Amino acid sequence: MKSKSIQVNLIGKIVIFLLLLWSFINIYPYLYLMTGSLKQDRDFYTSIFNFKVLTFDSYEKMFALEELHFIRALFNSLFVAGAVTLATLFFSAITGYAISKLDFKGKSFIANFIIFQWIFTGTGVGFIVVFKLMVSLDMLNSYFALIVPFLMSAWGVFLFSQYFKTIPMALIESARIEGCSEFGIIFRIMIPMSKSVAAILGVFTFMQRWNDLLWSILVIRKPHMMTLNLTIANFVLGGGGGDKPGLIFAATVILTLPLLILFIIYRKQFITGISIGGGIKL
Amino acid sequence: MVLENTINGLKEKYGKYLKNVAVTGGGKGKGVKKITLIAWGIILPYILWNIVFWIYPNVVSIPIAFFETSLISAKAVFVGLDNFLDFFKREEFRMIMYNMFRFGIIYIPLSLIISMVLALMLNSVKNVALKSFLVISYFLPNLTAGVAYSVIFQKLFSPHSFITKTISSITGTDIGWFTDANIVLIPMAIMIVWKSSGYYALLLLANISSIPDSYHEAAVIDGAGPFTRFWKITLPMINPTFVIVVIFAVTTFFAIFAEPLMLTGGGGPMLASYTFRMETFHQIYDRMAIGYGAAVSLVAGVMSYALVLLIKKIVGKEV
Repeated sequence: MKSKSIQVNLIGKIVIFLLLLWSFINIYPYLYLMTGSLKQDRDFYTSIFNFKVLTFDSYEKMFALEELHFIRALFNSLFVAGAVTLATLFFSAITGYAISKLDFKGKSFIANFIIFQWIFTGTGVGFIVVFKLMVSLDMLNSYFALIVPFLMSAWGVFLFSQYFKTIPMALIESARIEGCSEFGIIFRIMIPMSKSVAAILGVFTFMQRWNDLLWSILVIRKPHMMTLNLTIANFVLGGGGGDKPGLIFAATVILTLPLLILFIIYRKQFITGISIGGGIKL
Repeated sequence: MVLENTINGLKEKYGKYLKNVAVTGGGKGKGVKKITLIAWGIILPYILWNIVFWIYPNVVSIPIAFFETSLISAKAVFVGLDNFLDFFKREEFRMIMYNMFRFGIIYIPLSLIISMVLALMLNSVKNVALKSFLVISYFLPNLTAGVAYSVIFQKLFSPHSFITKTISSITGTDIGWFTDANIVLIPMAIMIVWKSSGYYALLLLANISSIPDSYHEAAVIDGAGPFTRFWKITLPMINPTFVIVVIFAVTTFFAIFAEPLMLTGGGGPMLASYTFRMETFHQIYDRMAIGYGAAVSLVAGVMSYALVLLIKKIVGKEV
C-alpha cells in the first residue's frame, strides 16, 4: 500500500514537471524577446541571463528611426483596433437587444440569418471582393479601409442576444413605464448588466484587429498609414532586421505589450471566450 | 360581458397610464407597430453593413473566379475554367500540395498529441493557483501576432542561436533552418505547434473537466486501467470537441501567411514553404489578378471544406 502511494506521488510530480516544462516553453520566447530588446546589437546572441549588457539603446533608436514611423504606427494600431472594438460592441449590443428583447415582424428571419452567418464564415474569398471594392472606392491608405469592413460581428450579436435573453422582461417593462427610451434601456440597463460578455467580445475583437496582417498589407501602402504590425513586417522585409535585431525586438515588445496587458486584466474573459467560440470566427 | 365592461371602465379611468403600457404590450395595435419600427431602426445599420460587406462579397466571389479581371479596371472577361486549369498546371500548385502534406505529417500528430496529453495532465492538477498559472501560460502564445512570433523564432532558429549551434554540433553539419528547402517546414511546424497546442489543450480541458468523476470511479471499480478509461470514457465523451480540434489542426495550413512572408521571403527557398494564402496574396497584390486570386482561394476553400467533411465522417463516427 505504501509503495503504491509513493508511486502515485512520483507520477504526480512528473506530471507537474511536464506541465511546467510546457509553460516554460511557452514563456521562454517572451523572455528571449524582452532581454533581446534590452541588448546592444553586438551582444544580441549572448545568453538571456547575461544581465550585465542590458541597455535601453534599442528603444531610443526605435523612436528615432524615421523609416519605422514608430509613434504614428502605434497610434494607427491603437486607433484602428480601438475604433473597431467600440463599434463592434455598440452595434452587437443594440442588434442583440433588438433580436432578443423586441417583438417585431421579420425577427425570426433576422435572428436565423445572424446564426447562419456565425456558423458559415463565408466563402473565404469574400475579402478579395471587399479589397476590389476598396480600390474602386479609392479608399486605399485610409482608416476607412482598416475599420469599416470589420464594424460588425455575427458572433458578437449572437453572444449579446443569448445573454440578454437571461435578463427578465419585467425590468425592461418597468423602465419603459418610467419613460426610458429603447436606447436608454440598452445603455443604462442591458450593457451594464452584461459586462462579462462585453469584455469577452471586446478583447477578442481588439486582438484580431491588432494582430491583423493580411488585410492591412493589402490596403495600406503608404508608410504613415501603416499599423505597428505592418510597419515592423515592412521593416524586416525591407532587410532592416539583419543588422538591427535589438531594434526589431524593441518594436516587437511594444507590439506584444498591449495584448499582454489586456490579457492580464481580462484573463478570465479570454479563457471563457475560447470555449464559446472566440478566436475562431469573428 | 361583465368582464368587458369592467375593463372598459378601468380603461376610461386609468387611460393615460395605460397608454404607456400599450406601447410595450404584446397585443395588437399602435404599440407593436411602433416597436417594429424601433427594432428595424436599431438593426438597420447591421443589415446595411452586411449587404455591402458580407452578402455581396460572398455572393460575387464565386462567379468572379471564372473571369479574368484586374484590380484596377472594371472590365471582366469570362474565361470559364481557365483560372483554375492554369493554377493546377503550375509548379506552385504542386509545391503547395506537397508542402501541405509535409507540414501536416509533422504538425497534425504533434499538436494533437501534445494538446491531448497537456489537457489530461492539466485535468489531474488539484492545486487551483498552479492550474490557473498553467492555463494562463498556455494561452500566451495564442495572443501574439504572427509578425511578432515570427520575429522571435527567426532569431531563435538563426545560425548564431543556441538551438541551431547545439543541433549543428550534434549532427556535425551547418544548419540553415530557413534556407534549406528540405528542412524549412520543420521550424515552421514547430512554431505553429508552439502557438496552437496550448489553445487546443484548453479547448479539450473545458470538455474533459465536465465529465462526471463518477464515470471514472465506476470504471475503476470494474477494474479498468487508465488507458482503457481514456479510450472508453474520456475520448467518446469529448468527441465533439476533439473533432473541432482535429478540424482546426488539419485546416491550419490553409491560413498560414505571416510565417512564410516574414521568415522565408514569401515561401522560399524554391517554394518549399509556399502556401495557398501566399499564392492568393501574390495574385491579388503583385499581379492584381482578382479573378485568378479568387480561383486560388476557392480551390483552398473547397479543399478545406472537403477535409472538414472527411474528418467529421472518420472521427465523428467513433462515438
